[in-house]
Amino acid sequence: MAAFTLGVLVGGVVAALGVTVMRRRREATTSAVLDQVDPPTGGADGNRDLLDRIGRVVDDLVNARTDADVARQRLEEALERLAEGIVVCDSAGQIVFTNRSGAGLSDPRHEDALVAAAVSQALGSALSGTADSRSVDLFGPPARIISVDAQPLGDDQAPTGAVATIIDESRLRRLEAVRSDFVANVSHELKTPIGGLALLAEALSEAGDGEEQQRLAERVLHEAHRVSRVVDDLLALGEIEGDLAPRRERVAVGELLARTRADVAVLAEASAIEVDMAPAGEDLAVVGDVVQLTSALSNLVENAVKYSGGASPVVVRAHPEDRFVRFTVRDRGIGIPRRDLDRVFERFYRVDQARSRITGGTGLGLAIVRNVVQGHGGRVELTSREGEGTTVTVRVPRAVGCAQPDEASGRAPSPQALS
Amino acid sequence: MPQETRKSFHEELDGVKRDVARLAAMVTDAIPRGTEVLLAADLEGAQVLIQGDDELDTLSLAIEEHCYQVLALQQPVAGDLRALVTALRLNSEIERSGDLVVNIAKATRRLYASSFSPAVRGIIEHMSEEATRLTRAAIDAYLDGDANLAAAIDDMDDTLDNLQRDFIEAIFSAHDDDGLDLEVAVQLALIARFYERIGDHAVNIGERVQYMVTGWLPEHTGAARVEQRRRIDEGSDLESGRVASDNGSPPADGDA
Repeated sequence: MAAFTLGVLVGGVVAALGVTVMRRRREATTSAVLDQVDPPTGGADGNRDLLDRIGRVVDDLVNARTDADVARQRLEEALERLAEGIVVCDSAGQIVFTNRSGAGLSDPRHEDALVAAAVSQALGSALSGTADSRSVDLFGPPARIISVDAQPLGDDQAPTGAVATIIDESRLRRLEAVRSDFVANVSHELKTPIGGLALLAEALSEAGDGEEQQRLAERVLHEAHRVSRVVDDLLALGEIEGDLAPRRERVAVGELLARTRADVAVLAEASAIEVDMAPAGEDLAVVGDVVQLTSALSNLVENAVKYSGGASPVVVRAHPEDRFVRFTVRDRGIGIPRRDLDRVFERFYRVDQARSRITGGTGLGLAIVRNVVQGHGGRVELTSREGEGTTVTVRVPRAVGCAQPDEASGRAPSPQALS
Repeated sequence: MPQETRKSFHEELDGVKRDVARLAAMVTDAIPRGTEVLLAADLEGAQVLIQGDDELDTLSLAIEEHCYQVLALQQPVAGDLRALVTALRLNSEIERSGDLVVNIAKATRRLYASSFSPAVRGIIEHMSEEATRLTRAAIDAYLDGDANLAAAIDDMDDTLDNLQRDFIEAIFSAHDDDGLDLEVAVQLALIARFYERIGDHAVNIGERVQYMVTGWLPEHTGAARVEQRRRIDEGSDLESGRVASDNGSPPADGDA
């Protein structure tokens, strides 16, 4: 009777195991189970031994399941955290998995809705067996290019589903545009005046009239100066970028403003534009290189004067702000078109080629400003609207400590930036 | 059990909402494009936008037919009915905003070879931003069922109306002081109207969203006033009637 019950029990356990195993499609394990279960030998010891063996088999199965679960969980987590968006659908097109980066596509609105539609179409195409690749061009702002790539899963003829990858290619495209524009611009900026010089020199050698010679010689000088300015600015830019040990001294804001005013005096007077600089607080100072900082501020004020477009003054202010000093240069001039706002800090980027030619700009001013400011551990921001004007805000780390020289050594105390 | 699953009303409504969100996204992406094309005098870009409107129309048509289908087959009532009808109305408001962007693109052709002052350009840019902002806010209100945001759209639209006035002034002074061509000035004034109408469509969307959530429309207030006036008129008719029949005795106090 006991043997019969045990037999039923064993049979039941084996059957249950078998069902479980078959559900997990582990045929190898099934035969392993069946191999391990000998028919009952009879007697209490034999039964206990059998139960032990069954227990071990069950333990093995449970462990295998746990390992597989852990592996699957790890894989899922890896997918979840990918920077690229991943969307997986089943053969009916129903979304079965979306990772975190693709989560915005679950209940999409605005730009996400456009990306979601592209993903949907790409998945549909993949489900019919053809891999699909497309890109979504979002105007923004900010302008973005999202590329969507979908592949079928399983058999190409009868896919079990499809997976779509969503990648933001905006930065890459932008860098490509910057680089190709820069190369084109720099060769133009150098070749044009040098070409002009060659022509003028030729004309000069053929000119008979002393007066005409004089005129041509002046033109040669003008063009030579222009090239010289471009080369100077390019070199300055290179120097700032390559500067491994920039000067870090205490620079009084008052002195910075005074030097800037001196730099732009000629231009401001010639343009009859007033430069309104309020005096800074006495102890207000920054940490850095006075020459570089002056150059940056002068560039900003010069731009403001050039594009001021009328009678309104250029306003320059300096205020302490946390551990920075905030400089603002504001004009009420013609402003910068929205499409150019993202690119004005690029080297040689011109909003208006014709106008820059007249005002004699090199196209490098803002690039220099950005490099100087960033090199000093600061930030520069620009806001503008056409017809209303432009405001440039520069933040430079502030110097802490007083200006009095060290009593004992007679030297100025070494400045520290507020950190 | 039948293989084909009958989608529930709410699944259908979710599908409609997604399509409306997509249609709106196409338009809010197109508005700044239209402005860019106009300010850059980009004829090629204008052509792309004008042709792109066909896609918008196709989707809009599909949404409309889907809504009719759901109405006929599912016959929703009360809040569900309001939600579906709202989607239908929004569909047409959004599609009309898309048409207005096409108008802006077409104006680019008419204005080719004209240049405008930075002040004029700046206001156009500003109007474009406001129109886009309003449309996005209206769609947010719809997708979130946010009646408060929907109610605020009307006030937000004031900025756009003010800008349009500023713009007309700027055009006048450009014509008087800077010699801006009269034909160009008129075209610019029409363009300002396009942006302003996009804003109006956003306001309409806001009203419909309020209706969807609360069952109330501004027209209800008007209708309520009509009803009130009618009651007052009826009441005074009754009064004068009583005086006549009482033959001279004064009417009782406090009669309705």
